[in-house]
Amino acid sequence: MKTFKLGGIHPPESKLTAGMPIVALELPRRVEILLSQHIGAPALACVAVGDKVVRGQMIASPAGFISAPVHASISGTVKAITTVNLPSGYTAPAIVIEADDEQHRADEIARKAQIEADAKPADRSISEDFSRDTIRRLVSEAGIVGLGGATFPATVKLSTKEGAEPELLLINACECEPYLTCDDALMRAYASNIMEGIELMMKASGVRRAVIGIERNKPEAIAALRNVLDPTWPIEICPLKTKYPQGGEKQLVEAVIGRRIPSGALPASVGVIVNNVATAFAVYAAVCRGRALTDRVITVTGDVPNRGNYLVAVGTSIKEILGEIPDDCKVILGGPMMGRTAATIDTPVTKGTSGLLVLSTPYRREEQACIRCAGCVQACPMGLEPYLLSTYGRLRMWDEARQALVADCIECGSCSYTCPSSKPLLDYIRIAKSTVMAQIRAEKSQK
Amino acid sequence: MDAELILITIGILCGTGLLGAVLLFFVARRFHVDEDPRIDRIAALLPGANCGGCGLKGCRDLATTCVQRGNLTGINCPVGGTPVMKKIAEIIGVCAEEANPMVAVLRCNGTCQARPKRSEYDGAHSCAVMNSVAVGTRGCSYGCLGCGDCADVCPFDAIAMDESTGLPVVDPEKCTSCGKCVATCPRHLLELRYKGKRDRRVWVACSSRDKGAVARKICTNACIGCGKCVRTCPFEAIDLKDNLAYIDFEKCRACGKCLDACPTGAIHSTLPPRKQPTESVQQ
Repeated sequence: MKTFKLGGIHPPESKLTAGMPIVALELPRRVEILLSQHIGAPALACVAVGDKVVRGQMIASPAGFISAPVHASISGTVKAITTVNLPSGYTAPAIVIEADDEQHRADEIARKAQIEADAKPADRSISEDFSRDTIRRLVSEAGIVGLGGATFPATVKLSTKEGAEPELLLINACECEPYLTCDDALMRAYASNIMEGIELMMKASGVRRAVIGIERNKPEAIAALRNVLDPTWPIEICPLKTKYPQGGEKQLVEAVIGRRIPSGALPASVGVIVNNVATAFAVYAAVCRGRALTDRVITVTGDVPNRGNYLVAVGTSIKEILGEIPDDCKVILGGPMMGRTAATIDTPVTKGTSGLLVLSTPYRREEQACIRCAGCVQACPMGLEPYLLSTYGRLRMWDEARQALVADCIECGSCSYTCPSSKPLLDYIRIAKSTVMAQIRAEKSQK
Repeated sequence: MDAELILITIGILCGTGLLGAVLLFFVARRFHVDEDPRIDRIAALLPGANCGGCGLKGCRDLATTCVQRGNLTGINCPVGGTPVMKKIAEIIGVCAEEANPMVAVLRCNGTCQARPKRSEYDGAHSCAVMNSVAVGTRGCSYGCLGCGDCADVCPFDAIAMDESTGLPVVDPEKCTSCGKCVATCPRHLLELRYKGKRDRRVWVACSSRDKGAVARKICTNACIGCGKCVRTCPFEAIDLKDNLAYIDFEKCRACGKCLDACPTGAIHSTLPPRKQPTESVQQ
């Protein structure tokens, strides 16, 4: 069984919601849709207060190549263009839409029809009608971003140069984060649509071969994919040995094809593009069904009664999804390893929200002195020295941190997880990394 | 045999030593670098903390720069202050400029009472980390985070964290206005301001650019941008921008009228406590 070689850890999987079907959560009456839900320039609002919008209508247009449009996730009236809370407690501009009863009912009926249509196996003849440029345009117009969490605009990855196409499209279906099962649920429910999405992505990027990298702790999803896979297609399923952080693109490329991406380079440098499996489904929905990215599947898990995999509208309040939870709970957006703790849950779901993890006994253990066990060095999947980078970060020694390749850190948190002294290694490494990355960007722009 | 061996050893050692000495003597002669002796004298006067407060790379760099330029325009050692600059001026034979001594002040007064805790934080004990992941436990996106990065970097031990308020306190006696804390604070809450005549200075101890109602909700000591101080100031030293008042220390004469005008107590000063004439009349 394949996996990546360097470092890695085995945290308890805790996939409490594995095997649960996707439940469509009732559309909210009020959504707050952030203008910046992707990496790159924030979108520019193209509706005004008081405008009537319908579900799927573009309400903010992209501001540049590395940017993505934003769409209304419910029909209704634009109530305000204002600032709303981010999970960190800072604020960011957003469009607030409210629906009346009639609009709400109509949306619910339309969405039900969509879900029923998706449940049927995909019609494979549809994708043949689309040219490379059409697919790219549709993906771009649908506002699709990488749904694994990095939220990088999908068109940018698909826009390969003609004649210099990568040789392999790698579909990331690892879901190596403990607790999260949203991709798993998606694959079990919509395997044939995902295959269709992969085919469209291959066509858009001119890649001839695709491999789905999936950890073997999801046997049902693997079986579902195998079931719909025709042996004549150039798509392969590659089950991987479960190890965190296999879903990191550098680790995944190494695990599947055994090539290591050089420091500071993108997967394209070894002829690979990596996309998440949920992104493939979104591409299918955008191209074959003409649907913008307004809903996504999230996992609600941890110490809450209403655990499960839910289809929610982008912009739904997290408070509304979770319902009543005790005050002293910690809510993490994303998985426990790479997710960020929410300082406030009065904040909307974005395209990049993959899960809501509620922990009732959440707090970290007290920090103790480093015992030089080098556990973090062994765990680091990038072959770095976390104890050293963390010290550089704490002492603000940016030049030294840069020399020790802090920019290669993927912020997976394996070091902090491993540390027997509970040192917040990654917290300090992040500070050093962001400072060094800013330095590198400044140098590049000077040139 | 033994005596002979010892003598030979001593001989070889002495010979090698002598040869080395002669060689070094000529090398030193040949590659001698003329350095202005004044640089050493100035460097000896400087505090030697290498804090970088002058904007140069360290004390030695300041000494070299002074001598090379031949004047002291734009050069000031904030740590040594006027006495040291005067001595340096004597050495290079110019007049020292009188520099206004400065001190770091905190532009936040969100004490534990004014800003109750809103969320928990259990990450690394560092303002820089806390600022990057969240708004802070007290809900203000502009105010002090209270982890004491400024106190950690201060080379003169002039900043201490006050546990009752959760805010850093600058000791004006120890502060040399080197500016390390100013550069470190991720929220830019520390500012170097004139120490003022007879140590009297007035400043707005808040940096919140939130609208009045929002700021007030988060912190009862916040500047709400009402503009009362702007209207009161007889010297037009106060400016209101983005819901936040700022006192220009070049213009401020520390009359203290704004202190009485401020409805939230966001303006702080080192003025002695004033008598309340209205109260005495009522009595």
